[in-house]
Amino acid sequence: MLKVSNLVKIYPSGEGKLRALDGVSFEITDGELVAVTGRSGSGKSTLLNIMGLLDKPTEGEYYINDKKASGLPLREQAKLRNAEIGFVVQDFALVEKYTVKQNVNIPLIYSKKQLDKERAIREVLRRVGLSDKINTPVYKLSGGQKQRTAIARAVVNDPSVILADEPTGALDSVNANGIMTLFESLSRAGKTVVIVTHDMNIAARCSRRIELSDGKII
Amino acid sequence: MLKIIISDIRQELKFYILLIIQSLLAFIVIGAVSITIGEYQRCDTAIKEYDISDNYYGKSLTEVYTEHGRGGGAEEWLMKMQVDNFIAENFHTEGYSFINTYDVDRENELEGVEFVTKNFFELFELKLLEGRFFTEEEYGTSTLKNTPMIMSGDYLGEYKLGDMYKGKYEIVGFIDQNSSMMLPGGEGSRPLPLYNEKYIPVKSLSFMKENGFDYPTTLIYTEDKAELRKINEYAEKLGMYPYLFASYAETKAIIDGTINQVNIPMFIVSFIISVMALLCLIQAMLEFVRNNAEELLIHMMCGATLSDIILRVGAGTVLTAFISAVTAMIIFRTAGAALLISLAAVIAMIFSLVPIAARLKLKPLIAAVKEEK
Repeated sequence: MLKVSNLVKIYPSGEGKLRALDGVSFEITDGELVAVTGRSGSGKSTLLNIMGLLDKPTEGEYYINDKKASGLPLREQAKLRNAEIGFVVQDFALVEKYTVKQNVNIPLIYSKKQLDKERAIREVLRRVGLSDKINTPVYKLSGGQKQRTAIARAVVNDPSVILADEPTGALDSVNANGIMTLFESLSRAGKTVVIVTHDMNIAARCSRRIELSDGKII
Repeated sequence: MLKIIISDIRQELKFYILLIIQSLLAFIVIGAVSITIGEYQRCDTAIKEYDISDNYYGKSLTEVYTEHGRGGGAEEWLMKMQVDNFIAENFHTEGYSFINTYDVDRENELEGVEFVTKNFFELFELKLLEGRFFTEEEYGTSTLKNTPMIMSGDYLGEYKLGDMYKGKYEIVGFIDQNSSMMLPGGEGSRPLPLYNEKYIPVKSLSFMKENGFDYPTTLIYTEDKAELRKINEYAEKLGMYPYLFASYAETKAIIDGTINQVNIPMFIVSFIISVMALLCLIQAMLEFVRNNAEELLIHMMCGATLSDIILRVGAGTVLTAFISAVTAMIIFRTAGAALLISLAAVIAMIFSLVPIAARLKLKPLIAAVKEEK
């Protein structure tokens, strides 16, 4: 379960201050597929960065599975990020020179979980339909295949939360549909999936929508 | 993690080879400087340990026997023996004399044995491991029969007390081979190791002369240094160049002067090279971060801690330092240079922490990854 309580994020902006998030509170239960929507600059990505422990809130608290994540030391945040969170982003964030397998293996390098790593990689690649590309360098893949690789990497360490920032933004409708189907299946499998998007078609396929405007939930 | 580190190094192999060469050159200079300075300081320490009168003078190691060069041949050796006999007849002397290969008739019997004077062991504070020193009566005899022998401790195991060395000399003691002997001799003075030494008591001067043995004149006693002029006058009559004489105090002053003379420019050069080597190592790590920022950020997004990243970034530098350290150890046969190099690598890693952390943490990672792309 994810819980954010009265999150505030203030950035210095010129001579003044920009309130990117202004008292945001909500809860997301296990297995929910939630869309965070809003216009550019509404605070969507800021919220996702804080939920992904990539940024610190100025005020407020954030819990992952009842554990207070905000305020943890950086080292502990990195461990929690590795164990509980998987990221999928618009431009894939893959290491182009690595193979599919090497990319998917990245979270496992730092994982403390007792996993058969080789088996885990093969299993997630089978689930995303990339078994035949396991040793292919990423730069040879299509956009859809790259995003599938990113999803495989996000779930290989068996996290409870998947955070996706415009995951279909760089894909055509066919590939976008395939990616959404994957997220739906992950949700059904009990993963909490949060998708930041401005695409209403994507948002419509989620079980809940959180809409932000000027850093507030509307 | 190890696989990634190896892969990083393979990808940047040429760069790391260059870095190794660069750091090796730097550390060879630093190693050479520290060894030179260390050697002088060892001399300084060794000379301070003795409580030997400054009325003892050593013949400088810069001595040149004739225009044919130092120790040029049998003729020069005989001249030197004549001078030593002259010294022994006119001055009180202490020390040792080597039975050298020009004692042709006795070569096979005596080679490697040294005659020592009565106060030799006491003056140089040599410690017994086993057995005894020579007695008063054993010095100054006129025969090689019943001559006792003291060996350095490295012969223990091969010989024991009471054994006869080559059937002629009874072994009565073993001295600690881990000490050393420092003679006053000016700039060239160095602590002399005591390995493989075999000492017998000096015989009477007449016996030594008759049998062509060199009398021990390592230390010459005089209360007036001007008296030593007679030795050079005699040497010049024989056609030899004059000796330089130095007491312990004079030798210490020369060594101290050399240390000061060597230290300042050497330290400046070492300091500049050390700083450059350090900057080079830091630059290498920062360059790696710059070239691989996107990849490192992705790893952090997937759970790598900053220390994981520092370990990975620093691995190439540590390897570079390790190879340089091993090479320096082989060249200098000392762990000192290796320690110095390892220290430099650790300092470089510490200095790199701030810029690496600043580069990788300033912005949220997803945004940073996008920007790097």
